Amino acid sequence: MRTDEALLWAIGQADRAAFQELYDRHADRVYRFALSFVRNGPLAEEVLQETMLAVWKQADKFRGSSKATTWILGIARNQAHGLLRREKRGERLPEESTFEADPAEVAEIDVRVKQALESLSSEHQEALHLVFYEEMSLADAAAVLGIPEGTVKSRLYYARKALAKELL
Amino acid sequence: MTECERIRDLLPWYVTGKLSSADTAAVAAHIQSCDACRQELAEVVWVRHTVSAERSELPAVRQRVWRRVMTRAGFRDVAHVDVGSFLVGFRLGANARRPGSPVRASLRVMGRNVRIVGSQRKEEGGTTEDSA
Repeated sequence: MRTDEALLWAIGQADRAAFQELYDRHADRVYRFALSFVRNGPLAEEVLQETMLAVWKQADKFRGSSKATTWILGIARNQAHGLLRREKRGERLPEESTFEADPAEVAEIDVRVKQALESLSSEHQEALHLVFYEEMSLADAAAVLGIPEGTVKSRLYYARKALAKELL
Repeated sequence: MTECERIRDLLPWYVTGKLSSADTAAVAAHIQSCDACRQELAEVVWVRHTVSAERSELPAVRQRVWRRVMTRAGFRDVAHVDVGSFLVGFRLGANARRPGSPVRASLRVMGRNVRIVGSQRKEEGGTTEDSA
């Protein structure tokens, strides 16, 4: 199996098979991270789409100074910020969406947990997501979020306290 | 910063196994003798489980977004023909990426794609096709 770094190098040479392999490996990760930030299914799909297009176009700029996952999620965060900014300014209309959550899947999610997570700020949600779902190191989470490590720690602390207050 | 505060800051990465061995040992030793930090640890474990379970149940969107990415990147299939049988472990596929572009063909053998005609290179964020 090729490493992410090898796939990015191949994508930089316009290798479509490598692009599809990288997409399959990271699409769910990018979507879930985007959802923790934009909190809107169709918008998170758009973030995934724009992120992967950016990866296709910019793979030859990947220098390997960070992990591929960190680099890709960093792009996703920038794309999410950009889409939210444009939406706020009324510069973009949401794309027609085919977003359909599977009712059987949705029914499985504890509604209280879902609501409690959604009540957190985007900053708190994305910190929880990167550290507990992606299991990123402190340094990698700080790199994706573009904030000091101390800020990651404090966001995580307040996020889990808020969740515990709501659910325990 | 007290020792308890330092340890509590490390707990998220303690439960995900991302600490150095020195920090892991420090946390393990501290929580054995500190009830308050042990309770904090239980809370961190619960939050991790809650977040992971909720995220794992999100709907899969991979396939439909991939189709949109293909279109935007400029290599949408305009025709696609498959013959063969998955039952015997192979599939022959041929497709043209754009009207007028050369046909590419590949053979899928036991789960691996083997290209037999066609190659591609990227230009200005899109693709063009060259026959092999």
